[in-house]
Amino acid sequence: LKLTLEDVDAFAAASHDVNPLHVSRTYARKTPYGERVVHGVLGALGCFGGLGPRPGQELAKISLDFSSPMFAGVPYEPKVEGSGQKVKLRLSDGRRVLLKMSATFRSATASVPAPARAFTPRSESVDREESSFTPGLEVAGAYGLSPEAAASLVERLGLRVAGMRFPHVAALACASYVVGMELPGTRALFTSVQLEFAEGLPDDAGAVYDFKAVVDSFDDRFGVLTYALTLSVEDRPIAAGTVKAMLRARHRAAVDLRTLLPDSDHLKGRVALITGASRGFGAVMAEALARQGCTVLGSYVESSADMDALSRRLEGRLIPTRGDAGDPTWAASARRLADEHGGLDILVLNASPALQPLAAEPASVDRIAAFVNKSFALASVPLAHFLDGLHERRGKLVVVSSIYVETIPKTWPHYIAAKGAIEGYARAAVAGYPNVSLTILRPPRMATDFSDGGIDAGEAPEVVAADAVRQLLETKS
Amino acid sequence: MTKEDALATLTTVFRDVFDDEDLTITDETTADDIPDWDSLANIDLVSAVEKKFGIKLTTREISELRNVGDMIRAVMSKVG
Repeated sequence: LKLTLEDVDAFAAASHDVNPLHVSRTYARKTPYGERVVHGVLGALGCFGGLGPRPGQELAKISLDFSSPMFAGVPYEPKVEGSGQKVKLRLSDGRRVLLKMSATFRSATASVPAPARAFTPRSESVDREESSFTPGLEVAGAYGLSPEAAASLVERLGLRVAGMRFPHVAALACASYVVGMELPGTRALFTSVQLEFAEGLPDDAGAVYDFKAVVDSFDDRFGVLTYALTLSVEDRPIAAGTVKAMLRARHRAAVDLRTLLPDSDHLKGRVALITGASRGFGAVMAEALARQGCTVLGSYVESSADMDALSRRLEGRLIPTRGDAGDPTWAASARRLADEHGGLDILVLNASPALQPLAAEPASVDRIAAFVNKSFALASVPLAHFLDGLHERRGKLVVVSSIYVETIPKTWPHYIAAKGAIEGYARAAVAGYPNVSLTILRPPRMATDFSDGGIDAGEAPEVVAADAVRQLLETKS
Repeated sequence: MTKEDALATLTTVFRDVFDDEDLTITDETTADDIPDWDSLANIDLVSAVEKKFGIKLTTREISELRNVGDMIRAVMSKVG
């Protein structure tokens, strides 16, 4: 199964689930996922269509567990168990399981009419507060598929012949919509749904239902919300079941850099360039350098608004330069920009592609190679363009590597390979330019908006940045 | 309960949650060592540990878990 971003857009249009994690590249880049995440329900529908024809049968019960995010363009492998009335399916990426589905079928039941009604879906997700999730909280409204988009999706995925009709699609899409748009809304990660379907369903792409979600519990230790979801037409039940969703934490509270390293003008008149400066550690490092009086050029690809906000906060000491750090055209223009400001004194190679765990196994080799290439270009291209300038100005090169180069966790072979290559390249490149002082940072896992480390939240990036800048100040040339 | 008992029981829980019959864990095992151990899996894991040992961990106790060794200590302090 391989889904595309067009599939994600098509599902968003059909279901009205336009949660930004699915539809906004800019938003997704600021999350641990780094890119738009495929709707879990879309992944399930894609698998379902692959189950093959079931003449005279329809879906009676379905259970979906979404254990890892799915991405567009990645081939995943479905594995089916059972062939009678009860089918189980697992969708995996190598050894990693992404989706578990269990479906129960029955003989097709008669269709019932559903009167047409007007229905306006939400166009933006709500972002509800954790404190509002008290048991009994009810969110209700009307829900219907977008008929044309849904009909073309059903057709393309071969759902109808596989025993999934419009009301089934509507109920699953409704769960996706309610999770992503209503309850909990923006910060949702859909983790599971179980639905049972009533006999006699309105088989019409344009049917409009009433949905009701009633909160059962909220586990504030993990941010897991459990609620009952029902769909009905004129008080006649259509589908009922349980939904679980996890709430991603809001942005972590920033540590005040000034408490770690007082503002100064030690770097006044100096010019620094940081790649990947709009988010995570790069943004904190940009601020830490600017607070020492440095003029900071910060490269970014997507997050204009964040970059502008940071630039305003730093009162013009941060100059955004948009472009891919691995692109030679951008690097040449950044070089001109730095020269206009008097020449570069500090180059911080920080940019890195979004990181998802990959195992060293056949299913991952292409993605590992692509990750290493991309990472390496993000460091080697700017380095090549600035090295002679840094040499002339007795400048400093800072390579943001990782403690993982020493601890070698099993989860990140591609990341360790890339960081190892970049470290080696920087050492060798600098050998020919003795005036350049090289600092390789190997920070621990940091608690940025990108880390999703299971149990270990990690070190505050401000602490790492303050240490790094202090080190630069001490070796001032 | 001895530490060895706790580790043996935890191993069965880990194998079940991560769907890997050959998974071995030690005191030093962290989320970095198990590809599937992300924040979603951690919920299943902690819930499964709580169920298996009949305990309940607080938010603070969960946030202080850094590796399997921490988990063993947390379990043993609750089970007695």
